[in-house]
Amino acid sequence: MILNDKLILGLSTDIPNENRRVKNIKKVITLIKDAEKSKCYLTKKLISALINAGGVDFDMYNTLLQQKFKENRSELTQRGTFKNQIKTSRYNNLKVDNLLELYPKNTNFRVIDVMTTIEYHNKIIALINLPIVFGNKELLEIRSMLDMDYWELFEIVKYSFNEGMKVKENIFKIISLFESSEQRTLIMESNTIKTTTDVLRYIYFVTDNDYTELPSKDIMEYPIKFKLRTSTKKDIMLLLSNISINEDDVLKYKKQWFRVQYNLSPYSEKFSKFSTELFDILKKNPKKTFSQKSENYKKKNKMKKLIKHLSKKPGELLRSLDYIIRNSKKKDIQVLKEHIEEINFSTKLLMQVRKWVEYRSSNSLETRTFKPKGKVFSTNEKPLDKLGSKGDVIEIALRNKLREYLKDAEDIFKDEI
Amino acid sequence: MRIKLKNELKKFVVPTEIRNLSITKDRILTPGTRIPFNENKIKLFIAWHSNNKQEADIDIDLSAGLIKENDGIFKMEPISFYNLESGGAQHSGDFTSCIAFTDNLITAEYIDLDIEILKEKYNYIVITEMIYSGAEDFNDVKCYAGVQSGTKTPEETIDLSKYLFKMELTGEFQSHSSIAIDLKTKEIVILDQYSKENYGITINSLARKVQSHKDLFYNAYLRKENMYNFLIMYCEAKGYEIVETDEDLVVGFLEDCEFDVSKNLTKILDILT
Repeated sequence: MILNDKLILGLSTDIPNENRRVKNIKKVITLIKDAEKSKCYLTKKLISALINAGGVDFDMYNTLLQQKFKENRSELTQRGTFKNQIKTSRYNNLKVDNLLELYPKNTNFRVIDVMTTIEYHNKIIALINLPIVFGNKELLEIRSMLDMDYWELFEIVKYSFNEGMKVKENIFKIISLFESSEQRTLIMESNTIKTTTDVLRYIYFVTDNDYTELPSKDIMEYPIKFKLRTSTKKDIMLLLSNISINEDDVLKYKKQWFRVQYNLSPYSEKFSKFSTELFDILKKNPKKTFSQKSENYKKKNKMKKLIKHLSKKPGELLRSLDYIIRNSKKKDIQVLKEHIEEINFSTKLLMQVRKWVEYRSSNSLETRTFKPKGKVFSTNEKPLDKLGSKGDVIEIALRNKLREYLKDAEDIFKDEI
Repeated sequence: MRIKLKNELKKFVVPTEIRNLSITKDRILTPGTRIPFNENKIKLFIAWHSNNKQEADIDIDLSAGLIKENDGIFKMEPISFYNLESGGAQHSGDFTSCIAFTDNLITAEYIDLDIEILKEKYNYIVITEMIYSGAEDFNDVKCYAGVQSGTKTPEETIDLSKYLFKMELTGEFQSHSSIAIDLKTKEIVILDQYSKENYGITINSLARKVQSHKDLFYNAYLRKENMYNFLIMYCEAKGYEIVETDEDLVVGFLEDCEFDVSKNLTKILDILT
């Protein structure tokens, strides 16, 4: 396990069920054997898991090591000082046989899982994404959904992120739990960094600035100096080349990006391999954001342009479908239909929107409610007319699209036969 | 392949996220889903005991709003500890602490309903549960909300093992709306909506809840995709035949619809995401 010591100690260890305990011990033994065969990440995690398994805290573990050290002084001193010994043995050179000897007998072994760093990191993020609202153990008892063992890990993760379980704000908090040598690998390979804002957070993180709350306006008053190493600069350029760049995201933190550009000098020769799309956007300095543009088209009632513009963000297009159909002429509906056939949507959203369009094709919408921050109030506007035949055309297009996706989906009846 | 689908699935909203789901024992229900019942006399309950099953000074209150909707205007009659009786509904009274939990007997506040009398005057009943004192949130206490069949009883405990529908309340919240009862069609409508209100139950707060949850109890399954339609589309896409009778049936899918949707939940979520 790669979480820091405190977190490991937070795991519960008593398993009342005798059979399960025996099963777990067997599991550990097989894991140890596997670990010896493959010299990968296993040993490191295994040690932590074993420490945790018997309810041995880290101090006790050190004491045990010390005892072992006294017994085999000659053997251990050959490899270096005791302090170094603990440091290295904890992670790299400790042999599994020694570990088993160190380990108090008749204890309850408990291993959560054995994974690579990236898998482990992704698992933590998945755990954070679990429904905290429900926090319901019964949910996890449905074995097919999640292994019960992860529940405890979830409790720990929840405990250590009690300020708020938002992943975006916490990605680097999670990453900083890992060893410094692993952090770079995680950032470059784990797919956690998906947007330009994530990259900006990364820049804040590597320069030891507060990455949780990015200041958006007053940056020039309190300018942050991003002291970047050349290797980090290369990483940043690589990250920026690999993600798709959203103009709005860039413009939101425009001033920070200018500051980054100043320190990074992205147009220099050594970065000639990498894409400079983001900095090109800064150069152009467009004045209108995506939503400002779409609002503008709505005001001028330019539906074709609106459809084309929203097609860049399929989710936005689906969400404003009701508005578009209501205000479109028959020609525009054909354009919309063609766009729907071409774009890739999320199946879930497609299903929900299709049902809505189907409902609205034959029903007017009488109650219009808005929910600003949880409060509810009705407007006095007239009820919205039903979408009629225009709605039907789009509904069929959406249905066909959904069918395409369902055709390729997994067979849900497979186990029933 | 031939597949038969149960009609009940038409009132089952397709689960799209784990976050949205309401989990009762071995069943997973999406808010807006409707469960039919036959009983004329039912008991809405909130039942609780402390986490260590011992007696404790934990006060949880159950209230209900009897709702009549007329031309878009709501009329609501509250049933709560300050208004114990109205027509066919009777509140058990306020219990401000709970006894030790033994043999499935659990401290409960409940509202006895006579559906036949109530449906003359009202359309819906929405129930709400709030922690008044003794616990910070639903994680601090074991708490169940649900529906039992049966007539009036004078006790302050109920048998937790008998129920038509039951859900456990958890999470860092003090206030919850578990279900609505559609009096005309005799259906339990799953709401399962939490909120962070902590000022106790007043007519205003009850009305606010009724207002904010009305989209769910007013036929949410018509606007949200239901399991029946979804599976029909799925079968069409996959080229499976849907049959109405049991003859030549290969797969009797979703015989007990609620349970089986739960069983196949991961597959459904996998398809959608």
